[in-house]
Amino acid sequence: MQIDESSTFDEFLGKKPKKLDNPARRRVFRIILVSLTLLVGVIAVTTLLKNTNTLDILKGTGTITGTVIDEKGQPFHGNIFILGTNLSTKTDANGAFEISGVPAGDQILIVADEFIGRDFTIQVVSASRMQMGQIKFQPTAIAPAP
Amino acid sequence: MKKNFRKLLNLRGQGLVEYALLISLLVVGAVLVLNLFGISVSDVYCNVSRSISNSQEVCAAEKIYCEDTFDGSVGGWKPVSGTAKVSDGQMCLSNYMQTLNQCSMKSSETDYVINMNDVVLTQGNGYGVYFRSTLTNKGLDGYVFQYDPGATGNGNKNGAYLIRRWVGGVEVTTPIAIAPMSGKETYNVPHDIKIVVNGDSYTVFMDGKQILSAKDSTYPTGGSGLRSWDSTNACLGDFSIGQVLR
Repeated sequence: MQIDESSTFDEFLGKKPKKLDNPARRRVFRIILVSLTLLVGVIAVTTLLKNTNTLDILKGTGTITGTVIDEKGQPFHGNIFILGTNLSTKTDANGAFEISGVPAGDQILIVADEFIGRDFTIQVVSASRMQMGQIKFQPTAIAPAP
Repeated sequence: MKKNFRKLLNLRGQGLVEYALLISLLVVGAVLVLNLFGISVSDVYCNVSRSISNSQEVCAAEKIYCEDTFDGSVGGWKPVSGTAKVSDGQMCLSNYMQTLNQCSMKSSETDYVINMNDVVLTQGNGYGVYFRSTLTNKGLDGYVFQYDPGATGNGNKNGAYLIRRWVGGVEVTTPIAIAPMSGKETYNVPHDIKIVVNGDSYTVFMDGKQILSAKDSTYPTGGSGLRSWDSTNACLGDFSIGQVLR
């Protein structure tokens, strides 16, 4: 038996030993506990935001407008998509389009004919109207057979 | 309030409860961090179990979700355009054709491995394998892996392997991954193609060797299908979709 493990004098006399307490150690322990709780809370919220579209909803939406012309400079008649969303529209007789409710942040706008879609990366700002100007649509070099 | 907080910090007793709380917080924190990085706790458990027992059979016996050995008809496939032919235990695609594997389109599995054995391109510009694809009223949305000797642009003189997105029934021109083809054994040589669809990561293997990988989160769900274009003639021996073994 080590000398540290031997009975105290109080124990030897049959008295209840005085409980040792270290307030500084206890305080550090509780600070760690509170910090860890806060950290886990932050990670939980981050996970929730990442796994749901809550962040997108919080970011808000914007509107995109523009005009598409073909390689001859004529109004282009085709479809406009926002990749990864259900948002889409068609260009009008002048090749113009407007698409609203686009989630704020980096998005990919697709201008498509019946075979291919050209992609354009855009940055949508919440509650704003973004004018893309004139977009030239280049058809595919190799036209797929019908 | 400050006084109360100080008092809380200096409270006596409940040491065991606090230790239990600390350990449980560490566990919850670890699980959340793993989740944040897309790592499943059950997969970690399986990997650890597997490494201890040195056996592949722990946790993950590979499940097959959908399978077609082309012994019967082409009924398990839904044509979008063109019609695939099944004969002599093979399915063959030709010209401009799109067909969807009905079983995978109905499946709720989001992560899976597509295996195609003995795929032979005999002529044409190539074939494609759809994954995470859905058929909407506007057309097909999803991804496609293309074995594409016809994609000879941008310095890929022998064509390219590539992964593209599809939206509203059209292919988006910019691929999310591209790798050059060697030009050897492109035609008339059977290849085994495997596509691992796992979270937002997509990895393609040919004859057991990785040829392409991509990361993208546009399409989180959807099934599989096949496509061909131009003057393609391609046949495959079997097609299956199974569980991702992690």
